[in-house]
Amino acid sequence: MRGKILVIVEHRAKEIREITWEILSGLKSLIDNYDMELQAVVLGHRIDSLVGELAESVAKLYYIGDEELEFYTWERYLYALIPLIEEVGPKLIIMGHTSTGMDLAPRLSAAMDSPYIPDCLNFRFDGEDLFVTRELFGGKLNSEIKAAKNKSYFLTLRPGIFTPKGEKGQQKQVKGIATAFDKKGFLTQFLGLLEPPREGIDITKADIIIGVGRGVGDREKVKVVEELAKVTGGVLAGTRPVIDSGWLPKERQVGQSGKIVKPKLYIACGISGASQHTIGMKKSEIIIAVNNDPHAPIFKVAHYGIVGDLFEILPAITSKIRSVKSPR
Amino acid sequence: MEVFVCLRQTAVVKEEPKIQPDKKGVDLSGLKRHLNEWDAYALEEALLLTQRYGGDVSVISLGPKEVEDVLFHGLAAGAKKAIHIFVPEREQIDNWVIANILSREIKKYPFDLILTGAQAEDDGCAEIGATLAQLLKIPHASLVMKVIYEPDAKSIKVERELEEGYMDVLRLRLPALLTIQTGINQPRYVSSLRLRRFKKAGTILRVSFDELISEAGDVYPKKEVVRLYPSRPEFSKVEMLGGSPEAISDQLIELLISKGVL
Ligand SMILES: Cc1cc2nc3c(=O)[nH]c(=O)nc-3n(C[C@H](O)[C@H](O)[C@H](O)COP(=O)(O)OP(=O)(O)OC[C@H]3O[C@@H](n4cnc5c(N)ncnc54)[C@H](O)[C@@H]3O)c2cc1C
Ligand SMILES: Nc1ncnc2c1ncn2[C@@H]1O[C@H](COP(=O)(O)O)[C@@H](O)[C@H]1O
Repeated sequence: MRGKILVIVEHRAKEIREITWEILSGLKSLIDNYDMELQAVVLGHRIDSLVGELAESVAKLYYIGDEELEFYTWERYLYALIPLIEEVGPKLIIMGHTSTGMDLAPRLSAAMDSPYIPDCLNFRFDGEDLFVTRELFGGKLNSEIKAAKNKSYFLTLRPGIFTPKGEKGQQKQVKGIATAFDKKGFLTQFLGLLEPPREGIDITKADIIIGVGRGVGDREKVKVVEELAKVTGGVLAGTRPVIDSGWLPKERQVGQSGKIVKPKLYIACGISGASQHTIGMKKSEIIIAVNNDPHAPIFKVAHYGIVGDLFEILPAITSKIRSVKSPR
Repeated sequence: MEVFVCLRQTAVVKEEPKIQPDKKGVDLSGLKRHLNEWDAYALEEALLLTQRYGGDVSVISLGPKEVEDVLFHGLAAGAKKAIHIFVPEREQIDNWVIANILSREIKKYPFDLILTGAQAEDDGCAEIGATLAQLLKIPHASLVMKVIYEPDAKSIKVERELEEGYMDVLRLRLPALLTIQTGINQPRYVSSLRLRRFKKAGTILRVSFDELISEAGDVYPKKEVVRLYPSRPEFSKVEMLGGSPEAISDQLIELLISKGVL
């Protein structure tokens, strides 16, 4: 396969987001066998330092600078990107499956009448045909998908599956692109960026975290997990459904839309292991998972697994630790 | 305010979903089905908005006969109209096609707002909402956690969730489409008695998928499943602790002590 790959860069608060580095280094191995050129486009306002950093990692960088692009909105990005994509003619247009990717990629691909495959783990070409692998049912099945033949394809890649290598080459060509927005015509107005609230305990500082999942059943039963937290000196954290249901406060949410934690020990109790959760805890030093489903995807990131009912397993562990810690 | 909510019925998978012999689809027979988790929040948000500002909620779902269960759920929860785009077989339909057909049907009615779930539990694509908005040429916001209606300006103010606790605040001109994130509200409980009553007496408007497709003319799938296969944990990479709860506890504690965390 020959052609260009265009990566749409993500940044927030004057920093390139990790996902962009992940994609740039992941792509290098994915396109190893193809004669493809890695290019990127960054949209923003007064981000020259970011532009310099990026230009060392790709063959060519496009920079669309405009005060209207200081903050992301689907609409400004759409209008700025369509003419560029038409001019460059990349085979693949790639973003992360992040809040921005989910918001923009389906819409941009629809506007350009191109196939879009979300949340991919990889891709490959077979002749002219594009194949990707993605997960279904929260990671229980893999699906191999073939895109309908087209001149270009849009993909979002799953965050957290490639490791940024940080290798930099020489600074390459940066091509500035001007835009002419019809500002009055905008249907979507950006009003502000809210920072994460800084209240309650900071679970990112904890050495031991006991993770509560929906498998715990209801708010009352969280006590069973809390006992384990007490005897280990750990703190309780939870998955999104646990927070949504009010079993634990918001600041205890682990995952993509919660906190990224790297404790010495993470014990996942009744957690299925959806990617949006595991991205927040898979770098923990020791991961232990308790789940009554032997095929639960959480066992893909756990170092130690226990298949069983958490209401039988956890009390046994708790009382054992108690007796070890305070021997009579 | 007239609000459409797109509802998807998803299978509840307890263990591993069974793959069909052709390896292209999941054998859904015998699996319990329910309303996609994200759509329950979208439905609730629509009901809250119309309770507050007036107007009605319509629910729409594309799929085989069984999806009427989620439409009846919508009616029982308070929606006034339910539309079923009937697909004769339980076949895999590409999201691009679903979005196109939904847009063709919804366009027949007046609406101020369309709500979808942020993603479907089964395919996890997060694709149909923004695609539908593009097809209808209306603004959208995804992963929405707060909606404020501004009737005088014919707009809405929304907060959409980004990563790690950041939020965007946006104003969208109406009509608009929002994809709803879980946790935005607490979906109401619908008793089984009430649901049964609506299943007996509620009315659903049925339209044919095939007719909409032939009207549309040139809508083709943009991707196809070539092969499904189980994605199991690799038991070479994870050490499984077995035995009685007591035996497991002994192994675990020994382990934690040896690693210095206890
Ligand atoms: C944009 C976006 C952002 C998201 N952000 C996050 C995030 O930050 N954090 C997050 O966690 N999720 C997030 N999610 C949601 C995520 O996709 C999953 O829905 C969620 O992680 C599932 O939580 P869970 O594992 O607790 O529940 P489930 O998936 O319902 O899993 C429950 C598990 O408990 C097991 N179980 C049940 N009973 C028992 C028992 N008695 N003993 C032992 N095991 C039992 C079951 O086998 C199952 O595996 C996000 C989703 C989206 C779309
Ligand atoms: N068959 C369907 N009928 C109606 N709405 C659907 C259907 N499939 C998906 N949706 C809507 O689109 C949202 C996102 O689905 P997806 O893009 O598949 O992740 C769901 O939460 C639903 O609101």
